[in-house]
Amino acid sequence: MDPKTTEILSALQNGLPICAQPFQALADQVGLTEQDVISRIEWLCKNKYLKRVGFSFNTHKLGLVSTLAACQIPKNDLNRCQKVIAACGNITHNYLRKHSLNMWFTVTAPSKSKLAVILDKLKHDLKIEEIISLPTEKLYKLRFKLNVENVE
Amino acid sequence: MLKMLNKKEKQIIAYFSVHDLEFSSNPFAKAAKTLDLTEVELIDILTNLQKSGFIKHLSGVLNHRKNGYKANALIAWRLYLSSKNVKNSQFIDLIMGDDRISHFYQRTPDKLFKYNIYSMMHAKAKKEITDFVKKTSREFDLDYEILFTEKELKKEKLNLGEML
Repeated sequence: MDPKTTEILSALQNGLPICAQPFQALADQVGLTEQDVISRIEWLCKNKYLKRVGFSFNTHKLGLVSTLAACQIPKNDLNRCQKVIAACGNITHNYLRKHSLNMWFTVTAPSKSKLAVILDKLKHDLKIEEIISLPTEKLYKLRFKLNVENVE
Repeated sequence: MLKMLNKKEKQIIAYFSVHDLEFSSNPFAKAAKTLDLTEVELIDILTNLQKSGFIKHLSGVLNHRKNGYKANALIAWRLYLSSKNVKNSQFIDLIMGDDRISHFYQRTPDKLFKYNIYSMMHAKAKKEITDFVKKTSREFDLDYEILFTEKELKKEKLNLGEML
């Protein structure tokens, strides 16, 4: 990856200004034309360095509640359980982790009571006895700012 | 003080919770049309939503693995918050200042999982994570568990239109 593209990838992590031409603002910052910046961002997406460019919202401020949930799914039932979680609109992230608690996912809902109902339904649909729920108490940091200087 | 959102603001948030930024010279033009606003009005509302903290940022989301971060782990720590331990703030500062750690939360522990601090760490190799965690746990005398990511099964944006 050439240095200018790396610079763009790095700058995108820091954020774009909300204005009529945010890519022009980025172009001014890195010293390229707007069209060149857009082409490089499209290349970054096409080659999967970049997942997307978009807004992120403060769900807590929007009045939503969320929890990190974990459970133990038998290996032979992983496929079915993965589909149950894929179908749940309240779950944004689901990861397989190396632990006896092998499935970890985040659940967001409009209220605590709705969250409890969703977890109960999941327990039933996943056919498990326990779901560990770790509700968010305090967010210290949520920011992707990886050093991309050394990317090949 | 919690500012209540009006109908238009909710529509805008719902729209951008499922639509990425277009890669064009005027990426808000089409959205403004869909939302029945002028481009200037839309940008004005978005700017205010950011000022009031409803919007965190407009930014790029990287693919960790593709960018060389092959080792990713959730680290669960047990921090005794009630004790008057000055080391707690030192621990928090250390995690806050480490750019390899993207997520850092305090959570209510579960009866089956006693840990109350959670962080996501991204590194080039697993050893970098285990070395960091072992060293940090010794220094601060903390119980921990490292849960390496084996597979991402789902990663989606939250459709806020159904929640607001």
